[in-house]
Amino acid sequence: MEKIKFEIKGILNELLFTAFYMLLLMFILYIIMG
Amino acid sequence: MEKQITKVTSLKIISYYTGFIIMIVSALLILPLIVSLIYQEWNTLSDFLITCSVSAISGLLMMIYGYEARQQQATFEWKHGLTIAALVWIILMFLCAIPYRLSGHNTSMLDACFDVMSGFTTTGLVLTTDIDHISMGLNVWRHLLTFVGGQGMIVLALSFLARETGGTYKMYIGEAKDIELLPNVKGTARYIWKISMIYLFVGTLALWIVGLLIGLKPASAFFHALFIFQSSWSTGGFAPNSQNMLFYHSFIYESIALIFCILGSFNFGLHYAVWKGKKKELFHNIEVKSFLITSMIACIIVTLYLEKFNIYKGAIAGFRRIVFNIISAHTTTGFGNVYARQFLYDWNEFGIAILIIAMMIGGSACSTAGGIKGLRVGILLKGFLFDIKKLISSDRAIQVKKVHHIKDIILSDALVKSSALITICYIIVFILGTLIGNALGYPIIEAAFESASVTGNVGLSIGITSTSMPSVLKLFYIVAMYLGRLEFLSVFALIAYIIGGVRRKCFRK
Repeated sequence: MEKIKFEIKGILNELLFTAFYMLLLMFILYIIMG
Repeated sequence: MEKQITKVTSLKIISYYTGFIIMIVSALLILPLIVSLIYQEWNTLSDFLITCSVSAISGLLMMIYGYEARQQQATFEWKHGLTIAALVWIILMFLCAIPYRLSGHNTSMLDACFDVMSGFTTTGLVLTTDIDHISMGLNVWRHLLTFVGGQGMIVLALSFLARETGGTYKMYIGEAKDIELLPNVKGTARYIWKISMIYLFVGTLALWIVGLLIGLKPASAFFHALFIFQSSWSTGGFAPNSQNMLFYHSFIYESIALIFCILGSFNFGLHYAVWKGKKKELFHNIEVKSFLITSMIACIIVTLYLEKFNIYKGAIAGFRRIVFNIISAHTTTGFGNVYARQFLYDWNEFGIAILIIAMMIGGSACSTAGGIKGLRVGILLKGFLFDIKKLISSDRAIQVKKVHHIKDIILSDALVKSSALITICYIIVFILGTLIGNALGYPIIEAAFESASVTGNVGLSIGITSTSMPSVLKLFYIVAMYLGRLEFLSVFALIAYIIGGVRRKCFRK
């Protein structure tokens, strides 16, 4: 059970990390392009 | 006499394990067979039945021929592992191309082999004609090949091993995978598949829901979601339609696909570490840092450059065209949401040059991505900076520099040298491809773009890749995709094995 909890947390961390990076890129583009 | 025994045994070892891997990959044909049966595509069904029979018989004959080596538990050397890895990809290319050729959507066996190698190596360039009207069975097969190719055919076969032998690790390394998640190779191979299958479920579900929201019918939305996920995760770039990602006209659909392209381009070792609770690895890993820095710089430079011409209006349009295509190139996916010639007309030569650099760098080592790899770029850059620092430093004490990749690795000269060698090999193939393309009449910038795309296993096209391109170029691109994916070492071992065999045969007294 503990193992599965770790894995779900791992997946969520990876998804959030990637989504945050894309938001960051979007923000940079917003500054440049408006 | 002793030499004769070694030679026969080597051939039998190679034959047995190659046959075994062919049998496992051939078993995958059951999936498109079932789909063809459900969709009542009788012609496709017969194509797959023929392929299944030919593959199974080939694999079985090879296993029978080499069974003696298995029985005697012959010593499995490095050359065997590397040769098997290289040989399996060639034999499977021919076998898996049979349904493509029989379907009539590929006008020659060379085109069919091109598409299979493109799928296996997760490149994504397509010579199949009339993609919008190919059967569901063949579509399942196309995307399955790219999904399996991303993880690796040998990784798949090793997952099914009943008993691990000393040779498994050597085959595993031969397929350009060098990460050990668990103490044994079989466990590592299974964990790689576990990661991929869990993401397959998550990604397909997310894309299915968005597909329904954008108006696709439930069954169609499911298959589109499955195919696009398989292409994203394996950084392949295939799509079930000729318009690729343009077909969906959806910002959310593109963004979700992009998330899985990035995750697919990450090292399996990184996924394993994060899944085991080491989430800080995402911020410290040299490959992740290398990818974030280079992709962000590329996005900013191209945005600033294209902003001058006011081609894309607003951040959303810019994100959908600039960021999407740069990340697609950098992760070596090759999804496109602009037409091939638009790169030439809208992005100009400067934009294309940035894309070429991004394609050459590629994703992470031991991932589904191609290219030189972020790890090597990071090692070379750190090695270069370290050397300069040593030169200008007055401190003569021995300094030790480390890079963080899952664990701390000492930046030794040997590590920098091996990274530099592979990088040089990539650059040589890229230059050769550019020169051949140019010699065949294509402008140098277009030839360079396409060459970077095949060498880095990307799949973006500027318009050269088509059924009408010269056969020499098709052949070179097949070789470039193959070399790029296996990272040269195993292919060199196969060539050395063949040359050694020929020399022994010709010069034997």
